[in-house]
Amino acid sequence: MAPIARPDTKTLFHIDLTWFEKNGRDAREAIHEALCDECRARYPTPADARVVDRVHPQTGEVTRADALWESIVDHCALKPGYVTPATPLTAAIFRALLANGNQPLSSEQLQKRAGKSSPTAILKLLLGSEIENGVVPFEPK
Amino acid sequence: MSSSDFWNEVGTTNADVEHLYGFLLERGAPATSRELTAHLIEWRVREEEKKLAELAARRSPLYQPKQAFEVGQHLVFAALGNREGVVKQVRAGDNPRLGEFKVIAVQLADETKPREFAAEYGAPHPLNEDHAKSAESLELTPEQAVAQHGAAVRAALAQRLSVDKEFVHVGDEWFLKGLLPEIHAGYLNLAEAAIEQANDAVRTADLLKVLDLPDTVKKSTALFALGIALENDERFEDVGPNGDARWYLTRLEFSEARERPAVLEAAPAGRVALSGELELIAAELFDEADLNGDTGKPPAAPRAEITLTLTYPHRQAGTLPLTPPVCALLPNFSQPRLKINFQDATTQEKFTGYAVADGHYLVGLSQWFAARKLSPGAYVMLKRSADPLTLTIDYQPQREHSLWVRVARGVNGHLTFSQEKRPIAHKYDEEMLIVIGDPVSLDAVAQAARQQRSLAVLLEDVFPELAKLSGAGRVHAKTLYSAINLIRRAGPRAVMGALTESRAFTPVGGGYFVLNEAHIR
Repeated sequence: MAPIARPDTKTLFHIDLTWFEKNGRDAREAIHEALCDECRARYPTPADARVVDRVHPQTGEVTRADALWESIVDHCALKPGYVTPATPLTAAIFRALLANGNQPLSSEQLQKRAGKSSPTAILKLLLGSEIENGVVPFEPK
Repeated sequence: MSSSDFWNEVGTTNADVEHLYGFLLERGAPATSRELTAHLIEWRVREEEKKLAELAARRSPLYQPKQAFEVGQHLVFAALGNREGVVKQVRAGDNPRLGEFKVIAVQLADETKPREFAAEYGAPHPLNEDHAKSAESLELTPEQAVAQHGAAVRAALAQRLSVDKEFVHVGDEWFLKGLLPEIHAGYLNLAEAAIEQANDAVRTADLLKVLDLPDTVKKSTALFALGIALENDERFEDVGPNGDARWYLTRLEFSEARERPAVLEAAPAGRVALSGELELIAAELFDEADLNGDTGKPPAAPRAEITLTLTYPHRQAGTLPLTPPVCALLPNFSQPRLKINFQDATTQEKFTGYAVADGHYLVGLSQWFAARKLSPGAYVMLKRSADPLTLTIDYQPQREHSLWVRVARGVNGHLTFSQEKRPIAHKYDEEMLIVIGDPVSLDAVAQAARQQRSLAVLLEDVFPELAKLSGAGRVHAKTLYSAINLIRRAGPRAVMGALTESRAFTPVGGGYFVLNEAHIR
């Protein structure tokens, strides 16, 4: 068995989308809640969002992507109201990971993106007894 | 590839090493890293410009998402390292958030499947900016590139070549191992005899003259090969300044130049913040023990002369400190030893000495000190001379007459001092002059001091002995430094640091201290 590394502020976390199903929640519903008003008007329910063309912000390359993720990464997360000081810390962490396309982030990086709390406090929160919004340590396959 | 990526890569690739291999092969003679760097940069700039010119000649337009494209059209993708592709298909874009746009399928060179890119895409995008270049130009002439990037490329190149088994170097000169002419044992025996006969260090070029290598070998190559052979033979050592290798025989070097005399060994001292007054006193004493083994001290500005105050360990070892201000009298050297001459300022007599980098000392002065009956505390002056490898040495003679001075002896394992009338024939630092009454008994105290006691305890032991000689019961920091060095090698900062830290001593100004008997251990 591989040794278990003691988690620290460099340990990576991501959203385990299967966690929602296992816990009777809808991941797409949770993602939809992070949309800005403009995008929510375009996609009133998660079911309205389908696969769309995504234009890469640096290369111009087009790939097919889920409209919810595409909207958040390329539009909603770039707007000032995406994470505010009033956003609860657990929601800010979830939104930071969504904005990163669910690419894993450490508690140090999450703290910078959430703009609140401290890396150690975020690490403690994420390693707490209750998993919030499916955010768990990332285990590379 | 961005310009900075390009320059970070120059000097590190296999292609660069291969090119320089060819360059040295063709040249048939060693080259300095500066020459190799200039050649490499010139070649890389020319190659890159050629590549960019070829790219431009293809006349493929730059891909910009805002443009419209047709099937069959060739495009250059700046964001993909200026790769070229051909448009295979055009379709409508599909994203209600982005409005209307097109998607082109592009077959990029060296890829099996087409990739898709946005077209007629009016939203803000960095590639839509018109100042984007079709292909990055280096925008530098080779000369400008050498001036701007030469130092970084040279460092990267030296590192890369040093791990390549085909290349060898002597100092900053590089050559190919396979092209070195053989310098066989017979040549090296001749070199040994030539140095012995000269009884001095000999330049590589002068040794070459006596070796009579075949005429077919280029002089620069022969010099290089001889340098490598001498460097790899333990009989020889380069004792010259940087850029001027001079070879000497290790068996002819003083043993004190090859191994630091034990009396100069100082224990590492902790850094204690000294008062401004003590810091000034310590700085003026130019003691190498204060370097604390630190070889990274910045070089001092070149100077013409320096006055040093002799301490007992240096008097015993026939040495003087090689601190940065003393180094500033000599040419730079990066070898372990620099062979120099001392020249007596009065008699003009010359004798051999060495500047030893590792132990930070000048050696070769035992007889000179003894002949002038110098005591610890004597002033010794070093001056530059017309020959950069010769230091003029002088002291301040005075008519010999008997003076009341401090005389040191060891009694029952303790250092003791008495005021006695002794003949002194040189000028000296009042606070540091100590005449040695009995060197053997001092050695016994030094032996005990080395093994047992801390500097602070030694100072507490020595202080009353010195205080009794001064009416006011106070002792100068320099006197304590000079006295401690009779039995324990310690730099002025170490001694003054121990004085500052110990509660047994109180500074009373002017560099003087008094003893607080209540705090003695």
